Amino acid sequence: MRGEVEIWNGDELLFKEPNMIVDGAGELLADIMTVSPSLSGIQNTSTSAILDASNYIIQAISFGTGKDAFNANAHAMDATKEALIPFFVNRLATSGVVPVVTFVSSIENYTLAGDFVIPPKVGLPVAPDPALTVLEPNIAMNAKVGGYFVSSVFPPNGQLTNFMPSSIFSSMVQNTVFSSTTSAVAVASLLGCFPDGSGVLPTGSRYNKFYVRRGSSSEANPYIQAAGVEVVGGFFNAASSMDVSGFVNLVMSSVPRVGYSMSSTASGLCMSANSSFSSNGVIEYSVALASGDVGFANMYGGIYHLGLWTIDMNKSLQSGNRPPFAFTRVNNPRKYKLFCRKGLSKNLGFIEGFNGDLNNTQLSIKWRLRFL
Amino acid sequence: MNLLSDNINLHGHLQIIKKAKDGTETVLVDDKNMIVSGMGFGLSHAFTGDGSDDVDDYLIDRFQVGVSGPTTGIVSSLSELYGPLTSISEYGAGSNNVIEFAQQITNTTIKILPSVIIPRHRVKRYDSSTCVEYILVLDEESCNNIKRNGKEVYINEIGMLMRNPTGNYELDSPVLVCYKTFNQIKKTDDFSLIFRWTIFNETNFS
Repeated sequence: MRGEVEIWNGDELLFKEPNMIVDGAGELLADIMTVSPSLSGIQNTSTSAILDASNYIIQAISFGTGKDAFNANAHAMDATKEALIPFFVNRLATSGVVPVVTFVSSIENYTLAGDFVIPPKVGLPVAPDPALTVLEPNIAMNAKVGGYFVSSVFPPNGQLTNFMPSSIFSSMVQNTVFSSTTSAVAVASLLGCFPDGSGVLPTGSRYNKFYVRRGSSSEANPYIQAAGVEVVGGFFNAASSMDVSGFVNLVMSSVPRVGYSMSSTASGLCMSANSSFSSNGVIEYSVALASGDVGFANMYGGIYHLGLWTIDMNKSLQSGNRPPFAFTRVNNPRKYKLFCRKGLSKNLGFIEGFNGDLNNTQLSIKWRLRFL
Repeated sequence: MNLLSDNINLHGHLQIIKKAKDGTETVLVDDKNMIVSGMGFGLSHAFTGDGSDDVDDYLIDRFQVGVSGPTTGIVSSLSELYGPLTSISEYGAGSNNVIEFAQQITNTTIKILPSVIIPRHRVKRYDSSTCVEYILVLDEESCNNIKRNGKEVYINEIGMLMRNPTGNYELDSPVLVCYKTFNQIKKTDDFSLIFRWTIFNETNFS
């Protein structure tokens, strides 16, 4: 079994390389070979649903970046940024969208007026290793809000998460130390990383991404607002296909069945195969990233990792969930196991030339697994 | 250049043990097997969702033995044994094994062939490892005195099959997933044969 990843910008192929199948894939195959068929005889829907074959296939895709990115870019918090929290709240109130703020180092020679390119600080992403169970291990996020470490309540899970839609973060912060509006907005802005759908965005000012240059010691202001960048909506939250942990759900499968057409890859992860899949063994997983998704991810460290995930039956059951596991954005009963991954040597959100984030374009990921 | 290989390597290893009535054990074969294209056929049906909706249909739950295994020229597109046993009497009417006839999917046609069902307690996996071990048994009463065209023949090939990956409702349609030939064994009621077959679902290092 092997796989390859293609990334397309319209009709232009940007990237094509083999993926890495990880140990989790072998564990899944061993799971399939050792399920207990006697479960089907138990007169309990949840128990017999363990044998549903859909629990043992690819069910999600996620995106990650290097671990240093989680203490820099829009993930970073310090006294200067904390002073901006009232501004965050104000922006949420006026625009309905959580603002994103990242600092531009005064040392770096960016043009701070108008359009510019901001490469995120990422460090060195983890080396390829088939033993990996997450996209980026050992992430320690140091940001504090109200004196509490954000990661003490929301531990990092090795990938870009999806806290920004108000319907998600307002549920997540309930009964936590971050339940106040002020803290909630700050936490959502720190954890990121994907924008609301364009239907949720305000029709007026959409300038909700802010690059801020710190003031030097000789300057009176601790910060100088550099530029507000117009927010472009994302696909994942428009289609509600990404959960809070950053897993994009498999929304449909297109196998050669009459009358079963392929749906839009903007709706989530799509699976397809041609009519001779049983002789060539090729299955394709495809998903589209809106320019807004790419641009926001870029504010949080860019995209250096991609991963395909299956359901981790043991973890899902141990978490107190009962199959069938219906996907939900908050408190998703599906716990996932990494099946294969792809590390990128170049940020997927890299922008060549100027015009900043507005220059991000919609990308398509096509990931083919070959079983023969 | 890939320093680490990018694929997963399904491979298997087979040990054949001759166990005499007095308990004496002799290892006759200890060698790797061949994973054949039926494994990919079955898994691709599982992963597209186009096959059976029940994951237990993807179990490797049966095996066949045969008498015509070649010594060379075996290819991974193999979909059936060269000379599979074709009747309950050939497998041994007095055997403790459960024999089941099914519509086996082959490269050319669908054939009704018998297989020995592998009891689930003889399928082992240790913790969350990626290796699965199958213990297949031909007891003293199995596969003795097999004759073809009036002439005695000896077993020399074996294969395991996935139960029903296409999800055929009427009768299971198994598919061959792994195969091994070996030197001819004249099976008698003086001994049983134990096949310890391990399938490794390992990430491939190179």
